[in-house]
Amino acid sequence: MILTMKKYIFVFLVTVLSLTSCNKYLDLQSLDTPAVEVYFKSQEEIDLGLTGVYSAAYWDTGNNLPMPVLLDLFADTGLERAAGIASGSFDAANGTIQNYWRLIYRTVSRANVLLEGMQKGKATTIPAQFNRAEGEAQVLRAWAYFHLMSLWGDVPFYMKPLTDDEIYTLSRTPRAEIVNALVADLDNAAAKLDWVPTQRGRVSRGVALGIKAKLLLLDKRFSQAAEAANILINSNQYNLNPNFQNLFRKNTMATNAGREIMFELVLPDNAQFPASFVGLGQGSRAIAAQSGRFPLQALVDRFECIDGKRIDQSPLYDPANISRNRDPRLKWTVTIHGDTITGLAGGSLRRCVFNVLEASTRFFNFGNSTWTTATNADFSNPFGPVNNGMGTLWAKYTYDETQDYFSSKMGYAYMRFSEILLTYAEAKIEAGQLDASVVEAVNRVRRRAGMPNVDASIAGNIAGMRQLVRRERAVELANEGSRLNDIRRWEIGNLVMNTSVWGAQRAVGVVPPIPTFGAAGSAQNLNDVPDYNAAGTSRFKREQRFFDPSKHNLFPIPQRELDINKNLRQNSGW
Amino acid sequence: MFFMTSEVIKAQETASHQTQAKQADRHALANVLKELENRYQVVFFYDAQLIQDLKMDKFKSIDGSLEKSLKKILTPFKLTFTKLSHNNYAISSTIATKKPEKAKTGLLTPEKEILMLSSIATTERKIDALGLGALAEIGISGIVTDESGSPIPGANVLLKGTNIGTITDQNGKYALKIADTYKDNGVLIFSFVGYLSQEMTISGQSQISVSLLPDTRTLAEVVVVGYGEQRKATLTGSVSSLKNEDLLKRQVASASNLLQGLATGVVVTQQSGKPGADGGTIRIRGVGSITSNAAPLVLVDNVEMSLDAIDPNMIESISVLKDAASTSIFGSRAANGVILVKTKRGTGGKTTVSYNNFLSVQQATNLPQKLSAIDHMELYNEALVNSGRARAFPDALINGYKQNPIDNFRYIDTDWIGGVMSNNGFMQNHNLLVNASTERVNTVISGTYLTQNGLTANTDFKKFDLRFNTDIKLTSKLKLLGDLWYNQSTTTEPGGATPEFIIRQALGVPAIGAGKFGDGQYGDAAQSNKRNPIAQAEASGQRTSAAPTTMLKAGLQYTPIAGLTIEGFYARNFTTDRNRTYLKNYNVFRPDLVSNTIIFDNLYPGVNSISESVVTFVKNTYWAQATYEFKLQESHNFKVMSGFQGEDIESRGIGASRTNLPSDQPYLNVGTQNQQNSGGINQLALAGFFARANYNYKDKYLFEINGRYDGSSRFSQSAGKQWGFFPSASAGWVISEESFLKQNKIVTFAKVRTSYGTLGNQNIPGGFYPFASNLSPNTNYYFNNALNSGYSLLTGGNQGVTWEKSTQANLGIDLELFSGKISITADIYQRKIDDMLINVPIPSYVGYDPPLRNAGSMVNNGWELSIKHRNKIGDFRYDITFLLSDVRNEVKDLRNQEFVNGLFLSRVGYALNSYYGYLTEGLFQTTDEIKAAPTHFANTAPGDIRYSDVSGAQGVPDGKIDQFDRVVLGNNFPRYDFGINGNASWKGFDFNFLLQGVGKRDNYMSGTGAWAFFASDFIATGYEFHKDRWTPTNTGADYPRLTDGITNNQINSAYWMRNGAYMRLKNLQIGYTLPTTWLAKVKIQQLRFYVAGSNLFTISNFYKGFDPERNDNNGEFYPVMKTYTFGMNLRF
Repeated sequence: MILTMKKYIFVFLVTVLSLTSCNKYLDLQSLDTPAVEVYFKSQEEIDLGLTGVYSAAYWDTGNNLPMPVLLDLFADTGLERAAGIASGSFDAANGTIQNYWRLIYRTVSRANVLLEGMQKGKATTIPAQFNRAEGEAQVLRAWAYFHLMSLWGDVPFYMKPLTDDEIYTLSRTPRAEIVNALVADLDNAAAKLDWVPTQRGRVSRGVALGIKAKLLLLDKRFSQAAEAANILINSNQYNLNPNFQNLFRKNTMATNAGREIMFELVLPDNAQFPASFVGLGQGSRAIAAQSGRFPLQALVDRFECIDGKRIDQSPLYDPANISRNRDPRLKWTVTIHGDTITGLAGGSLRRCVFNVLEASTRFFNFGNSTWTTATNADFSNPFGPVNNGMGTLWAKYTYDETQDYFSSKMGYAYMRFSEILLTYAEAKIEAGQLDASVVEAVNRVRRRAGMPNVDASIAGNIAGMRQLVRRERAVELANEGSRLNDIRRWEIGNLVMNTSVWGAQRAVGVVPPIPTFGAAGSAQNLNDVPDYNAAGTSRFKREQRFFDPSKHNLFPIPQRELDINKNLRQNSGW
Repeated sequence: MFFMTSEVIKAQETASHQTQAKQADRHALANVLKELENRYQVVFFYDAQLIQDLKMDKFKSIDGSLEKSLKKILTPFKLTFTKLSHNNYAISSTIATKKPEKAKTGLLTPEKEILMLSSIATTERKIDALGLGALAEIGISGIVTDESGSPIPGANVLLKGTNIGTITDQNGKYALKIADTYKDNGVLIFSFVGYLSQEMTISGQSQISVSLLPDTRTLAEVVVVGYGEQRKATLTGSVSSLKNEDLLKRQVASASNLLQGLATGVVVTQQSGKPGADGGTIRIRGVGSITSNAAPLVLVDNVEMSLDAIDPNMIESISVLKDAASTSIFGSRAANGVILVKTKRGTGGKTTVSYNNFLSVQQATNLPQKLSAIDHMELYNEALVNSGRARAFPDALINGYKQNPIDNFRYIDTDWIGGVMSNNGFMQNHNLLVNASTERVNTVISGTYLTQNGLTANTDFKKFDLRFNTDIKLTSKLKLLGDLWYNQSTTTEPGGATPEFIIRQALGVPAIGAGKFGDGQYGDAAQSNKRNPIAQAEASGQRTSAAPTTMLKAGLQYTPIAGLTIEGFYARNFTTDRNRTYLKNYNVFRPDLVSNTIIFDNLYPGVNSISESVVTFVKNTYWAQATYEFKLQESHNFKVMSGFQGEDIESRGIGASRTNLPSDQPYLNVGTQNQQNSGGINQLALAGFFARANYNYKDKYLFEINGRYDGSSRFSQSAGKQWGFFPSASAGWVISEESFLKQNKIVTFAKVRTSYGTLGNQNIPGGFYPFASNLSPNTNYYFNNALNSGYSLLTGGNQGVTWEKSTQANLGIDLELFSGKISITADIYQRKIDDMLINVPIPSYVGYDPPLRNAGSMVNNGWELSIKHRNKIGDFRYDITFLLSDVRNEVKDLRNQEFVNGLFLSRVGYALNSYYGYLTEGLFQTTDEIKAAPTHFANTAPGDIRYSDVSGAQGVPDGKIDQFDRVVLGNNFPRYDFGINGNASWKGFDFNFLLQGVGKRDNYMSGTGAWAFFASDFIATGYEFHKDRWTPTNTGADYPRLTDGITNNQINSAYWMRNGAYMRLKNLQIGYTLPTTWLAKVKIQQLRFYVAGSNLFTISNFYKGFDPERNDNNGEFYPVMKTYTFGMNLRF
């Protein structure tokens, strides 16, 4: 019996010992991916987490394109080669829309995880550095919510990592409430940040206030928006850069003489990826780029003539040579038939005359500085500006001879001071506070562009100023992602989107008639919406777009979200 | 040349001397035993030292049964005996140190076979010693062959009624001297393990040759089970076992394909024919998990490995363990079934060398036919017009095509499929296997070299496999096992893209795109990015992956007393996974119609690069167990086993890359730009304690219990989630042992068996630490134009995550009719899976990927039937096996949720990942019809799919087609999986075929595989079948109207789901073995040649040009191969 007992004790001990050693054997924790619960304790860890938040704010859907470049194609300024969102033919299951939703919320999530987690390190880090990191994360979160609200209206809103229950029960918070919370948060962040970002690519106090102004404008709280913009303007920390065209080239973006570029994407020179395919996807086929995104004629015709008058009103306008006597910004925004273009592609510098009317065009030989005629891919390529586009190309962000289309490190400006000036002007006008400061804000933008000051006849006229500011936003900020938001705020989607897509002159010698802009005082006229119906076959034309004002002013909440969280309600009409 | 172990040699020598000395001593145990041998015509095996000097007090009666007498005689000496076969017994000590090797109940394992043969040698020597040689003798000789005429070395030849006998030599020859009194009526018994004994009356002949027939009673087999072996007759679990001969009938590069169609309940689907990746996906009894690995655990000699890593030539047997009773011993890794592979070990006491090879050519089984250049232009124009756009191809161009020859300059009509699939897929396999076996050391050395070319350029697979399996007998009780294995597989693919992507592009790019103008002058393929699939295949560099694996394994087997075996091993596997991608750029050219020359257009891609990574995996496996087998009162048979297994894995990786290689030299140090590096480490540890007990009463009533206590580092220790206990129990009743059936001539064997148990699954996704919310270090961003590291939470963690549990119940029957002419096995089972880990979808606004949650349950109900018929008519032998199985999956609980993932829905009451979408009602014919119909999507026009208004937001049809109208359309689970496998032989000829198929299955087509002018990432064309599209004049079309950019018809719907049932001739083989008489002169034992074909034909109603075996084809695939093979087997 004793023997048996001993035996049992022995067996028991062996078992206990082996289980203990087994537990040690099985106790493994990740060595190279630290658990969130133990991280963000030091400044270094906080900064690494902050970089993670920034990395989520790139919102690249996989084509090496910053998101704003695509947003313009969803509005009446641009076109995708394959009919996309702008066609109006999409539903709540649309992959592009779902992608943006997911990407933008990633920024919110990472900022929340960091902002909560970094409190562990608050006592042991240097307050200034801690505050700066905290402020930047707050600004990035607000930046994300601004885009979410501008695309979807009311959205699920949270400022702390979600608990397991909240994940499935969150409902949409009204936009006004979100704006209230973010305005307070941005004020808090702005106080922690300097006017000048510590490194290019980071956000600053100016960006915090700029987002605040944009949020208030989005929510149509015009006087508050004007105030926020005014703080920025009066700070005298920012000014316009001297040259408009230099805002869209890598090296001069770095110079940023007037600190106009407030928030930007700066791609890494020391890594192959990401590269920017903005230029590649906009550039001419004849110089070996791969045009697939095109500007519309409606944008081209919104640029004034150099005398400050709209093309149907200016005596300087020449329908047979539409780039003559125009707002200088046109040349740097849109490439028009006859323009000479230069680009670096596949290691070779190439220059040609952009030609959408003939099968061959002139090419410059850099070796012997002569011009020769050769096949014109812009004309023949089945996917180029003639066969699939509008007869025009984007120029903004397209021509930088230092950057090869296939490995371009051209950055992208997310926020420029000129937008702040125009936001101020719009907010003041809509608030009924039209005064000299408004005219001056608009004049600053126009003067830099080489355009005359606001004509005295409209300087005190609300309707005239409203029209001018809208036109100014359209031409100054084209291809920078503001147009979709603008037409939604101005509620003119039905006017500008429910139409066929028209382009440039289509055949040699067949000059299209000058478009009409509607009767004076009409919404069409106020918003400078050209009517091309008289053009017939003289212009490039693509599909009829479809816009349902009862739903298309907002994107549908992705179906997947509604499938998972029954508390979410779809936007009306979807 | 006899087969004997050293102990037995010693025994026989000693015995022979002693017999002379003590011949007269009737009480000497040795003599008593001899007397018994004579009397009962049996042979005893024993170590002579064991009975040396043992005397019986008085001579005991040896009346009655032999076994009774033996027991009476031996027990006082603390000796026991074991029945080896019907006339062979081993005598061993119950306490002492010496006993014959590996004496166990049951029929013979290879080791036992050696033992038995050596005993015959003993007998012969004994006979000589007795001086029988002095009598008048005659000589008889002959040759013993198997049914195919191959000699059987080591066959037993015994003169009936005596101890006189011998065994055949390596050429199957024997020579025997017998007293001439036997020359007329004497009967020789020829026997060999696995064959039926045959008796021949001497009738004065001096030459007697026989051909032995295989023993067809399959239930006599011994099968490998978890941590042991068991006779099939007493098995209570559900196990399918396959022998080397069954497997080697197919010539494949990946061993997983060998299982297809050969075992019930084991569904193998081949999704790809890509060299190095053409292995089958194995599912045992349906799918056992949603998110986790649903692949069975594969253990090769108790070490976990990939089945495809094993060289089929080295496989001795494969057991597929299907029910809980047979698998629960593997606890947390067994939920998806277990496949046990036993490799060959040295045997036979001699040296044999065999060489096997095969040479194959391969071609794609099936590919769709594309639109020609003219059709492309006309149909694309039609699609554009239908989409409200202008035509892209002017009539002038199309007419030019029609009126002019294709010149590949102005008029281009590229055969993309032909251009991309330029290789013949040549495959060769050579195996040299040396079996070197001596008394103490048994070794098998096998070397295999395989090369397999792909259909696309720069696509191939090379495998080199070397294995040493060595057993060293240190003492009679202690055996040392040492295995060395080296395997190097190298896969090469084009550097620019995977072959699957290249093939999808070849299927998708329009014929009007330029392929190649001259040698190396690639065109732009009509792609805006100029990515040309032919150039991608030929000139985009190479991606090579090589994963040399070395395994070192050392083990001990100790048998201190009869019936007790203690064994253990330590194995260390090293794998160095090397990946290297050299992305080369090539020049793209275009025809310049102005200068009439081919001119340089562009370089694609703009930058060349090299990246290399090395990941080293080190796996340690520790295993030890003890097995004790004993009997009580003759009829109560017990076997108990208990053991431990530990396994830990560590993987460490580094990677580096550079771009801009100036002289196109693909070496890291040559690159000048973008120097980057990466690294990582992961660890995993598993530990388990297991035990099993078997009891059977007279081989009639069978019981077994198993259990395993298992731990895994994948789960949280602090939350107490690491350990789980997985028990099972089973029972069987061998009805044919009952008196009422015992003499039955029809039912020669019958057994019913049942089992129940629980299993776990720890092989879950979400990395090695799914319990923790870990930050990912590679979320980088850029400040001041420089890369900065960032840390982000990409996937949430869940402390509570733990095992998936599965409960399985099985009821089965094994029948043999007409002495094995017909054998039937049938099983019915239920597999219930609880605590199923699910990536419970979370809304995207959460901002990271969901952690796993134990949140679901589902059930697989299924049955399996296997019927085999074997027979022989004269020289013609054949067998045919019919296998049929079915399993139905049903989701039982998802915590009141349902998961929609695009096309797939998991909903309670339906199969996992069912197809989910709209029902359709044909195509709209008129605009009036559209107006009258429920509101469809924008841009709906005649020729578009008409969807059904099934429901609405309020649960009733609402006149609107929206998400509420989606229903479950079907699912992709194969039903009625069947196989028909036949073998036949006649004289030297042999024949084998395997038909395999699925009786019912839904399969879905989408993307480039189904839709005209659709590819998400390049500019696409259409297929021939798109010509049957809806137009106002072709209203009964199969395909909707053509569009470009309008997605109304691409919405998930029943329109794109088809019947994926198929039957496929997986294998057909005809071989011829040269007669032994021809070969004997050149010392060749066996020489066989064969031709074979695989996937020769397929019967299916699926989409033309697409493989029904492949799931959910979106056009990106590598076709399964049709193979023609020539091969030979040589042994000398």
